Amino acid sequence: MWIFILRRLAVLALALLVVSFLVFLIPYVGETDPVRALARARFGRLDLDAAAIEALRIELGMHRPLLVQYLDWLGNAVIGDFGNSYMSREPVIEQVWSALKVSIVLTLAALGFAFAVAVPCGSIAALRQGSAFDSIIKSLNQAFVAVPEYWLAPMSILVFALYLGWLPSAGWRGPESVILPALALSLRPMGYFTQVMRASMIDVLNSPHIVAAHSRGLSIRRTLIAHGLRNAMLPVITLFSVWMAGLLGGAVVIEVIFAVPGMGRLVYSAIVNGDLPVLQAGLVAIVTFAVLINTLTDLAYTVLNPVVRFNNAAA
Amino acid sequence: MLNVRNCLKTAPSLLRGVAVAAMIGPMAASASAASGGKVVFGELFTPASGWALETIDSYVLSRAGCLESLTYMDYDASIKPALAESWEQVSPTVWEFQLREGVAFHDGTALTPQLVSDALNRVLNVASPPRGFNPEVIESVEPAGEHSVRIVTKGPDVFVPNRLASTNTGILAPEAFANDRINPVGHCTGPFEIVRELPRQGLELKRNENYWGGEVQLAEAEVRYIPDGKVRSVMVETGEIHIARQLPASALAQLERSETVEVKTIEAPRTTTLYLNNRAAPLDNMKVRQAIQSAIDVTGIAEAVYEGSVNPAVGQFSPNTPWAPESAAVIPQDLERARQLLAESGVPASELQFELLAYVERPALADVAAVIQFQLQQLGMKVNIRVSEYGAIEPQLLSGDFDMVLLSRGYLTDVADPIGTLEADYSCDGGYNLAGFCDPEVDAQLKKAGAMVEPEDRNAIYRDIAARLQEEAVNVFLIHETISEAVSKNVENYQVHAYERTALHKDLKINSQ
Repeated sequence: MWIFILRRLAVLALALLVVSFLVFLIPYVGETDPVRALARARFGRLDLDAAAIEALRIELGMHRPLLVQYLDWLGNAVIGDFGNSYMSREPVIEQVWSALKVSIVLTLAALGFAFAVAVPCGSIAALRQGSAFDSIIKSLNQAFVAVPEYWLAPMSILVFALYLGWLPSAGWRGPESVILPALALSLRPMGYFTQVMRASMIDVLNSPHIVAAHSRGLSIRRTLIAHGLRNAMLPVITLFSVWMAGLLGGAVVIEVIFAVPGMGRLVYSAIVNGDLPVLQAGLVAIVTFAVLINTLTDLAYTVLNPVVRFNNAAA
Repeated sequence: MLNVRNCLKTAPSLLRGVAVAAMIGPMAASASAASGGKVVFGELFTPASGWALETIDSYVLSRAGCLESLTYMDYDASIKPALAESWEQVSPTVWEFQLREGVAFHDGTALTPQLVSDALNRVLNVASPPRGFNPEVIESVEPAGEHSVRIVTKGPDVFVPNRLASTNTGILAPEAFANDRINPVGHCTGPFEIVRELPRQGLELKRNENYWGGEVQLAEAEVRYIPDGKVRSVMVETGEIHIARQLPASALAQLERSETVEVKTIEAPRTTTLYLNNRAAPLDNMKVRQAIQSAIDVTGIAEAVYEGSVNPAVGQFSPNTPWAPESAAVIPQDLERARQLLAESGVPASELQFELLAYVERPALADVAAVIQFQLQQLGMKVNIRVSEYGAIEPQLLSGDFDMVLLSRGYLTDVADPIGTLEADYSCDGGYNLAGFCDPEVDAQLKKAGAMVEPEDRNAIYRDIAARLQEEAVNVFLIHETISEAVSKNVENYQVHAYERTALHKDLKINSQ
């Protein structure tokens, strides 16, 4: 087990190194001068003063060779100092931590909701293959997977905030404001989770040990709860971790529309504004979290699935 | 009569009361229990520069009713006293500002000439000082006696009171800079004091009980950063916010039907313009430019692309400003005249191929580009459109390596006077002279205007220049932009500020109906 964890930590370090360098290059690979982008964001104007641009470039140390800038950043990052934002000149770590907390809450709420709906719906659809319920679930899944967030989010605001008046339209103030963005964010994973849960449950139901348990006289319900559900949920848990990592920094549309101060919006603004330290620290945080979640998922797999546990122990 | 919407709205109230209310506070925009009530302002811009005053963050503080400067640009662009109650130009390069007595910051620190001088010197000494107030223009700022501050300029300058109306020259208490970062909480002088800052979400404010300008009507206020315009429009309709700043044209029709919200639209000091590269053939030929000007239907663009929410342009300046020539009028689309001008130019239409640039940060520009492409094709010209991020086309624009570009340009950006924009865009050495227009006579006029104390004398020169720009079709001025904001009908005394300085002010009221 320890070897497994150490191996995962080594993968994490390598991934962070590669990602940090690639991220470092982002503002330089486009046609935009990152200092001018930064100045436009700070001063809100197109006609920038050339002298002010050069002063800003020197102040930020962006006149130095790219590799020097990167190594300088890396040296500080290793000791936990991600520097100050080019925009706000405030410590990046504070901004990232604040946004990360918001994104974790939003993502967990969205995936928790998706999971809570997908597991029973997928299971029932599997048990009633070919029924009207199964058809409805399949159709809904396809709709949920296909519907774009930039349409779904405004529509949900119109329905639940404007027309029904049940929930606040936007903002991040208390549990009430989590519901709508989490719902909008949950539909796509919900569609995938349900499809996978249904397929997985069908496989499990057809597996010899379930058939044997059923033939011993156990009811379908008891068979399902005692033997089927845990095995059928394994692929969904994998999906959960993939989505968790993806949504942490990838909910930009939802975060902008619902004015949620999360990681997606932070990283997106950093790209647009050329705020390199925030961009780097933000993506490092997202990647770290993604690898950690994957590691935890693998550990959970080990606990839930004896075959995996045996293989890990053998390795 | 049974109203389904109302039924649905009230149906979940029980559910909310039982299941949700325990964990949820009341809707934030509900009127404050405190005397005077509370107004929630929906701000589109999220401050990101750590409240650095030389940046646009200062506008947010100003609109929040927190930050104030020595002078103030009023709704009609006139300069009014603020922290300075009077001023005098004692010599061509020296101005003295008499500070208002009895002013204190929210933390109780008294406003003194030394503190004002320190604050202004601080903004002069940042790495990238604001263009309107920087060391190239300002020689020194120092206390001058018990209640005065002396500002010395490097050359004769009649615009110092205008420069000081900028939010970039706002005055914060020294404690705001104590911890290596700028903290405006408790350190402004305005009618509202920041109680709490919710990073990237908003500001909670309470009234300044000791405001120098008199009693503040509201007990509390709140600024919420809501970047999406359509969401701001929904929030003002649901009552979650009371004022929604700068709304997209597509949201206005719905709001105008609302019984609880009033839409206020005014002209902004901003013109969307088709910049033409006058440096190179064939656009160095005035007849070609005039043909393009005549071929474009600016009224149609205002109606179709902007759904009638803007006005067709009569020139660089809106007809409601003192800088627009009296004869200024919309140039109607006239394809016959355009063909005739093209024939007079001696350039065959079939040889005219242009690349038209637009940028994604203003989504409407891509549609405007498509309309222009079609209208110029009617003359036989070929137009290729390239839409990109502004940063990607900027190097081309600054190096003069382009044909035509669509830009939305404000003309009162640095000081409350159009001279900054005219110098930048139309003087030979202008820092943003994209058209490449250069006429020593115009340069001389601008220099003369810069030394005139009386605004009306300057305005006459600006009118002349504006008339010439339109006549020679240096650029094609397309539309005068507007600002539309939505305000709950129970809010009183709110006015849209075209120069984006003011939103929450001491006379703002809310009826708790």
